[in-house]
Order: sequence, then C-alpha cells, then structure tokens
Amino acid sequence: MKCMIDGREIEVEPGTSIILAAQRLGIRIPHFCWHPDLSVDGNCRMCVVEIEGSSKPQTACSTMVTDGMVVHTDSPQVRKARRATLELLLVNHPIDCPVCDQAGECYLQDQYMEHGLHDARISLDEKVRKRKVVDLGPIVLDAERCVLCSRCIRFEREVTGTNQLGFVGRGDHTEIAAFDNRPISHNYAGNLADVCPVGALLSRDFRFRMRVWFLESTPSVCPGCSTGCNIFIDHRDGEIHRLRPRRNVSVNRSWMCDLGRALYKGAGAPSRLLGARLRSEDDRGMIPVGEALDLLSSRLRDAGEDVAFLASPQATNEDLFAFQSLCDAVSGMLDFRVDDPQDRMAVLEDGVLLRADRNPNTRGCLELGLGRTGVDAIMSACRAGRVKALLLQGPELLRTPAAGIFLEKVPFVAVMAENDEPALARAHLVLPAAAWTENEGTFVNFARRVQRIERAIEPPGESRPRWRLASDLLARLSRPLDATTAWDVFRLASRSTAAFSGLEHVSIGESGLDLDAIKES
Amino acid sequence: MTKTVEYKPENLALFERIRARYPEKRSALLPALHLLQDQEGHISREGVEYVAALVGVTPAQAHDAASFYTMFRFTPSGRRRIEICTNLSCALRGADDLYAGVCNKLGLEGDGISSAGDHAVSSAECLAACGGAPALQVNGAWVENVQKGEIEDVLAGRLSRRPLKWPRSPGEPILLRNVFKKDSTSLATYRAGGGYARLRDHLTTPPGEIVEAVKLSNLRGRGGAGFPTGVKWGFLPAGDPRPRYLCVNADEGEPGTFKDRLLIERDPHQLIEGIVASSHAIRARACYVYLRGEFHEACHVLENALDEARGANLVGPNVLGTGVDVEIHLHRGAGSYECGEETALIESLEGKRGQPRLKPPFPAAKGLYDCPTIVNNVETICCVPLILDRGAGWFASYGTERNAGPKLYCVSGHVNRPGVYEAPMGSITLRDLVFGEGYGGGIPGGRRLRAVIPGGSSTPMLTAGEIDVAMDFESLSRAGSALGSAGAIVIDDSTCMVWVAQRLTRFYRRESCGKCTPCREGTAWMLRLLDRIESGKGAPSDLDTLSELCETISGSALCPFGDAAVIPVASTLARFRAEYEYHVREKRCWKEVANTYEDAAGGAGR
Ligand SMILES: Cc1cc2nc3c(=O)[nH]c(=O)nc-3n(C[C@H](O)[C@H](O)[C@H](O)COP(=O)(O)O)c2cc1C
Ligand code: SF4
Ligand code: SF4
Repeated sequence: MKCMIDGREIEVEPGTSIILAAQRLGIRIPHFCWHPDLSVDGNCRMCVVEIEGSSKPQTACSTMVTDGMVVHTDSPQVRKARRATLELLLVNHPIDCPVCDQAGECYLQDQYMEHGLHDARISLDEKVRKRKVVDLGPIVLDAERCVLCSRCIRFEREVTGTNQLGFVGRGDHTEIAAFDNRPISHNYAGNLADVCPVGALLSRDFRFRMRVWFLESTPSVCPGCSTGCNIFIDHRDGEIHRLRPRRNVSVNRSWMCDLGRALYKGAGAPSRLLGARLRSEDDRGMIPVGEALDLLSSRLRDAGEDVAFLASPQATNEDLFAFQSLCDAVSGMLDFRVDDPQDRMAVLEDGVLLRADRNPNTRGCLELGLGRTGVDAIMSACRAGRVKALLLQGPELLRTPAAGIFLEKVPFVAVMAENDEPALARAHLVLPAAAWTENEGTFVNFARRVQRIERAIEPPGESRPRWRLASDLLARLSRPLDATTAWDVFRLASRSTAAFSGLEHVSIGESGLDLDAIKES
Repeated sequence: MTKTVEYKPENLALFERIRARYPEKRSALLPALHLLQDQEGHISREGVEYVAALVGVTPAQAHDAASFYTMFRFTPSGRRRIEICTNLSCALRGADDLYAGVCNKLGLEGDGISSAGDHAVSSAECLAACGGAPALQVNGAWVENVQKGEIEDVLAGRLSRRPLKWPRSPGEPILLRNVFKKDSTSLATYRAGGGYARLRDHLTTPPGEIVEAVKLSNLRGRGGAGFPTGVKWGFLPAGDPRPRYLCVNADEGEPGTFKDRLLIERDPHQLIEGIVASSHAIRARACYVYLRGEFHEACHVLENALDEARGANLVGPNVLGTGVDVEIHLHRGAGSYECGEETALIESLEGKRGQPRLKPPFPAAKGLYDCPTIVNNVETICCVPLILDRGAGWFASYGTERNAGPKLYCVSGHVNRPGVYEAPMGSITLRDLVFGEGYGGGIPGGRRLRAVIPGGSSTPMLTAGEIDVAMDFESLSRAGSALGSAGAIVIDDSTCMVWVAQRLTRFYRRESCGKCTPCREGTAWMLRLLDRIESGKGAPSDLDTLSELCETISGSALCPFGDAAVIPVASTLARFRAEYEYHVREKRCWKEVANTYEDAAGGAGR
C-alpha cells in the first residue's frame, strides 16, 4: 500500500496508521496520548493531519493508511487545528515549567513554545484546581499538570496488569489518581514517569537532580537480568544520573524494571574498589595493580596445571573470551555455573520483563563454551588440595555459604570485583574491575540475542575492564592477546566461536542481532 | 476502627443472581454499586474496595468507573433525596424558581444536605420528564408538574409521587395503542390487543427473512441518527462463531426527549416482543436493556413485565417451543448522558466509565465483550413487531417516502399541552406540533414564538419563521436542522437566547465524558464565556472566541457529542447574534429592562 506524506512516498502494510507511516519517514507528528507500545486511544486529538479529499482534519493515530492516500502533516489547516487543541490543553494547565522537572522533555512545553502560545486567554484563577505533589512512593504525582492522556493507565492495564492508577470524576474535573493515594507497588513504576508526556508523574529518584538538557546519553543494555533490556545511560561529567529504557520491540519495547533502573547506583558507590588489595599475614594492603598482576601471573605459572578459573555471567563476551584464553594458556580447569544460573535463564519472573537469572550474560557463557570442567569437580579439587591457585572473574563463589569450606585448602584465591563487600575477605588478592557502565562489549540475552554495551564514563582509579585484566596477565605469561580494544577481542572471539562467526561489533548495531535468525539467513 | 462494609445476606444472594447475567463479572460493577448504595446510603472507600473485589477489579478501577457516574454518592446523603431537573424544558416552566424555593425552605445555598440531615437537594440534568415540567424525583419517584405552592407538601412527604398525565394524540395510535388502557403494563392487556399473537410464527421464520423485511420496511433508527435498521443488522459478520448481542438503548437523556420512557412505563410488553423478535433476527441469545439510572419506575415496570413474560415462556430458553433462546437482562446506568452513545453504552455495560471507543471498528463487528453487537433505540425495537405483524409494505407506506412508520414526537417548553404525540412519520409539520389543536396547542400566556429546537438539544434551532417543515429526517435536514430524537423544545419571546445557550451548554459541560481534549476543555470554556456574557461582563472578543471554539470542538472531538455540544451556541450565534451583542454592549441581559428582546433593542435606541 503506497501513500504520500508531505510529498514523500512510502509503502506500508495494510493496517498501518498514518502516525507510524510518517514516523518511518522520520516525520514526527505531535501527539500526547499515542504511544508506540500501548493501545491507540485517540483522546488528545493533537495528531491531526490533513488528508486530501477529506473535509475535516483526521487523527493520524487512528486513521489507517489507504492506497493512494495523500497526507499533509504541516499544512496551514493542520497547524491551525493543532494550535487550537493545544490551547485547550493549556486551559487548565498551571504552566509552571520553571519549577517542573519534566522541563526539557515535556511534549506540552515543546509544542507550546513551537506555537508561541504565551498570551493565555484563560487566567490562572479560572483554572480547575487539582492535587499537587501527591506522594505515591517511587512516583510523585501532580494532577494539575496532567493532560488526561491515559497513557499511565493503559501502561498499568496492558503491560503490568496492576491497575493502580485511574481517573476520578468526569469532564474537565477528571483527575488522575491512585486509589486512596496508595503507593505504586510494582517493579515498573519508573516507566510511569517515562510514559507521562508531561510532568504529572515524576520519578522520586530523579526529581530535582538535574535539568535534563545537561545530560549526555550513551546506549547500553541493562545488566540486571538475562532479558537484557536496552537502555540509555544518562550522565554528566563522569557521573551517572539515571538509566532509562531505550526502545527495542524485540526485547523490552519501551520499558525496563525498577531493579534495573537502580543499578547505576553501584557504579558510583563509595564501596568502589579503586586499586588492588593483597591479603598478607596480618594486614590488608593496597598494592599497585601492575604489581598485583605480576604476583598473580607468577602464581599461575608456578601452579602448573593445578589452577582453576571461574568465569562470571556478569561479564561481557569479551571479558569471557579473554578469561578463557588465559585459562587455556595455563591449561586450567574452567567453569561458570556457580548456583546454576543457566537453569533460571529463561524463567520470566513477573510476566513482564524481569527474569529469574539476574545475570546479563549467562547465555554468552554458554555460547563461548565456558561450562567445561563442572563447578562441582572444581570444588572437589579445591577441597582435595589439588588447586594451587583459583582465579574468580567475579565474587559469585565467595558469596555462597559453603565457600569457606571449599576454599580452606586453596593457597591462593584471586578475585575481580567492582565493589568491596565482606565476601571478598575470603580472597587473597582482589583486582579492581571496571563496572558495566565503564566497559564496552557484548552480552547475549536469554533468547540468543547479542547486544552491545557502550562505555559511558571512565573507570575510576586503577580499575579496568576484566578483559583488560586478563589480557595484561596473558602478556605477562608471554601469550599476548592480539587486541587493544574490546572490539578487537570480539573479533578474536568471532573467529573461534561458532555462534559469533562472521559478526563484527558494527554489524550488531544498536539494537542487537538474533543469533538464531542469523543462522537461518 | 473502620466499619467493614458488606452486603446483607439477602443482598449478597441478589448480587450473585445479578452477577450470573453477565459472561464477565466486571459487568456487574454498576448494579453492585447500586445495590450497596441502596443498602448503605452511600459508597464509602471500604465499599469501593468490597465491590471491586466482588467483581474482580482493583479498587482504582472500580473508583475510576464509579466516580464517572453522578448517581453514586461517596459521602453520606440525606434521608430524602430531591433531584430537581433544571435543564431547559423544565427551566422554561419555572424550574429555577422551584429549585430556589426548595433550597430556601431548607436553608441551602444550592446543592447540598439540609442542616437537619434529612434532605439532600441537587439540581439534575434532563430527567426525561419534559412533559411534566417542572419535574423532580423524590428518592427516585416522579413528582411532576410541581407548583411553587407544593414545595411544603414535597418536603413534608405529603407529595412523594405524581407522574405526569400523558396527553392523547389526535390520530390513530399505533405505537401508543395500549398506553392509555387500564392495566396497560400487564401481559393480559397486551395480549388482548393482539400482542404476542404471531410471535411463534416470527420465531420460526428464518432470521435472514426478518432482516430482509426490516430492510424493506425502511425503518430508520429512532435514537437520533436515523440509520436504516435493516442495513445496520446486515453489517453483522456472517458465519462468525462469536456470540452476538442486542443492546437496547433506553438511556434517553437528550434534553427534550421523553418518548422511550412512555413506551417502557406504559407498554413494556411491546418492547419485550420487539426484543425477542429482533434477537431472533440477528441471532442474539442475550439482550441487555441499558436503562438510564434515573428510570426507577421504568425499571420496576419492565422487571415485572419480564417476570410475567418469562412465566409465559415468551422470554428465556426455547421461547414458545420454537427452539429460539432469548434472555433479556436489565442493566441500569447511573447518571451519564454520554452513555447513550452506543460505544460508551457498551463500555458502561462492561463495568467501565461511560466513554466512547474509537470507530471503526463499529459495534456490529466488535462491540460488547468484543463480540458482534447491535445497539438500537427503544422506539426502533418497538417498531419491529409492527413490521412483522402488519407487513413491511404496510410500514413502508405508513408515513412519507424514505421516512416510514409511526413516529413519536415529544414537545415541551412553552406550549399549552406538552407531551408525546404519535403521528405517521413526516405527516405533521413542526408548526402542527407546536400549535396544532391535538398537539402542543400553542404558546401559553399570549406570548409569541421565538424559536424551536426541533429534535432534542443536539439539533439546531429554528426561528418562528422556519417551522413550516415536515417532521421527518429529510425535511428537517434540508431546513438546516435535524429530526434527532424528535424532542421539540418550544421557546417563547420572553426568553433570552443567550440564557438558552448557557443552560444547554451547562448540560454539555456537565455531561462531557472528559475523554477527548476539545470537548472536555472546550465545553467548560464555552460555559465560562456564556456565564460572563449573560451576566453582562462579556467582551466583544468573547463572541469571536465562542465562534472559534465551536469550530474547534465540532471539527475535532472523538465522538458526536462534541458536534452536538456546540450546537446551542453555534445556532444561537447564527440566528440571534444581535442578542449576544446587546449583552456585551449594554453590559446586562435585556430581561432586566424589557419583556421581549425586540422591546429592549428598540428601547435602547440603536
Ligand atoms: C451523546 C450521544 C447520546 C446519545 N443518546 C442516545 C440515547 O439516549 N438513546 C438512543 O437511543 N440513542 C442515543 N444516541 C445514539 C446512539 O449512539 C445510537 O446511534 C442509537 O442508539 C442507535 O439506535 P437506532 O439506530 O435504533 O437509532 C446517542 C448518541 C450520542 C452521540
Ligand atoms: S498522569 Fe501523565 S500519563 Fe497519566 S494521564 Fe496524566 S498526563 Fe497522561
Ligand atoms: S466528544 Fe470527547 S469528551 Fe466529548 S463526550 Fe465525546 S469523547 Fe467524551
């Protein structure tokens, strides 16, 4: 089906709305209530367009493209209608942008600036008064700013099924409300602030933190579980201010969960490890990372084949590949399945996005063949005193209750970690690792989708990406890895790993690739 | 400790029976709230939670729906609730004085509860009692034609029910053939008049043939839009496995309209027979009659008639042994004009706020519970047995070409004999309806006619010189108006037309469902401007803003309500603009200085 929008032709499948067809041409039709991942409600009447042959403007969200249709999205008739609707939306709006946290990402503000609607024909004392600053737990509600678009209600009905928000009253006295002002109790509250096109629902966490126009955004993937929601990391001057979902219809549509959203806090926490730490007889001492790597490499060399490696499903494929290469260099034992995350990998916990496996890259571990020796076999070897050195890519093992018993007879345990925690005391050497926000590379989600993360900020202190720690060790073992960036490591991995064969980080793109689909094509 | 709210055992049992009427329990929300409110007097927060749990929704969902409807009270109310219609037809006959008188006696400034706590007063929108104006309801019972001197009687409980006396029509009654009979609501009376006599034949006629007959009869919907009924039925998707539903629209809320109320209150079996035959025709096994919440009396009458009909195997499984199953359920609304719009009606029936859906899809393709659904007006359905009994040819030739069948016309406001009159469609003119001996009988008090709204508040007004127009769809639309729901409101020359626009706009502003921006915000803005102009505080630019708003709202609202809502303003601005200008220029309403606008305009020396 072909149609013409603003003089440009586009072909779409039957049942495509004008707003979507226009979007594909990069034409954004102003709107409030329409959302690509929610049902069409048609209530705001903002997205009107002119269709040749039709006397009145039509809403682009609810009108389907027909063959030969000619559409104008910015004609004088359209601009007039849009301006009139906008003015009506402002009738009861407080226009308090200077003190509103939505400023900078508010559809209403954008439009009202564009149409220059400053000469309000309705005075403030004529406006309907509604409730302001209502505490709903993770969300702060201001009913006066609400444009009654019902996006939040549709989100809770269609995505979470929680239905905690609803309207009260009718006509121009309609107000958005949570029953009895009860706090929003589901794990997706942050999305309510995202879907709200104005400043009526704001995130308590982000409120008053930062004007959004100062922020820089880096595309990434949430490391909170095996779903791998696509996100943006919003940061400024080396500090992360928030995470927000990045739309990907194949993974998370426009959403992410609150557990994931909170994960940026770890990267800037006071518990970050800024240098290496060696446990000696009486005290714990900080040592330069170079020295720590020297020590560790000599331990690995001395141990001969009596070494074991436990990879971490928190790590990127590049981290994993470098780690595996290290293990192969000394012919050690290798696995990653502490607590068997692979058994939970595909289990959807809440029917929405969150999966029971809280690792972003369990699937990557499987693709790279890191489940080799068996964790039980490695643990028995440890208990039998047959392991002289154990290198952990993350603290997973140290956190298990039985760790102490297993590690009793291992003379040297080294661990890579981002944050300090009591469990690390069980290791002799701690290496400071870069957090996921400071690393680049790839994860494979539960459904075999390989996705890229990008570096938003620099690693603090002497911390560095895990793949870098591994390649520094390999260099010391005279088996240097032919890589200076994570993408070089990916190239190496793609040569030896069937799943990644022929892939490059560019071809993965910002929305990732389905490995099953590649195999078929 | 807060008191826990729950049904008394007999109400819980009743709820269970109500709940069983619907395939989805959420539909029981409105009935469940009515039941609780009747028991407790109002619906508390705990009450909302209790009902929400019973019908399987969250408290927020229940409150979202409940708070949409004006009949639900969330705070305690008075023991005797007096609802006084102050919409146009009643206001033209003294409702404002009546309202002020009642408030005054109770020491109230306006809507509220008397200090003794025994009376609650509220100004209501059109109650479909325009023929008995001014009218009120005391705890749901009609008290009509209330004289100022009777306020004491109402407050003392001496006058607690008095429905209007319906006048008779001059010609041969067809739709109204039973309503003046003694015991007109009983099965025996209906049968004695030939009712149900051929129902068995109709139910053994193949459905397709009945649809064909209805098409041939040229029956057009009586709910307002005049869409050909047979054609609408033909839109049902053939060979679709989903159940089909018939919804009868008995929400009668259009100001000036009170015909469906008469049909239900006085001849319920005619409607029931129509439903059974129509359900068979469209292969629906269940029909919901959506009765406006204020129709307490009609609900009671229809419930009793249904019991009788069920007892006589005229409704229910295997009707008259024909193998046709038709169940009829009553569903009460709870105070919302918009619920008369067919998709809002369906939403309301599903236990949600009465807000319309986007069309397409139309109900015939995706309606109640997403199944194929036909929504028809009460009068439309009442025509179906006539077509089947007397023949499609008879029906088509009764009335005028393209405007077939008998028709009920309502007339109210400034006429001597307000009421509902029957005549063959198009056989009388608007002048006949207003002035005709057997109809409205002219303007009282020697006044002159100023304007008539011919078909309910959503149809454009006509001036005294424009009333020689036949009362049918085509003629009225040629005259620049519409037949609508055939509710004529007559306005004499003592009436300020800005006030008329203001009163009707107040109605649209109160009844706007609030879903779409232009109607929600625009009606409120229009009312503010009209309040200003009528009270002499308007500016010349306000008239331009009003015109702009009319254009914006009618061009962009989501449902036809938006188009309707601007009609009072648009049509008075078009025909009586000088009167608006007078208000702005003289900074007052002309009624302060003269008896008619002509006198005032002349007297002002311009
Ligand atoms: C705001 C609004 C209110 C309406 N109210 C009623 C009503 O009270 N009764 C009615 O029969 N139709 C009403 N309608 C028309 C219905 O949407 C629908 O067209 C009608 O019930 C179809 O029945 P019919 O074809 O038999 O006329 C209303 C429409 C609108 C837009
Ligand atoms: S709170 Fe925001 S998302 Fe919800 S209805 Fe209002 S404007 Fe829309
Ligand atoms: S026009 Fe809009 S606000 Fe008005 S009744 Fe229809 S949907 Fe509701």
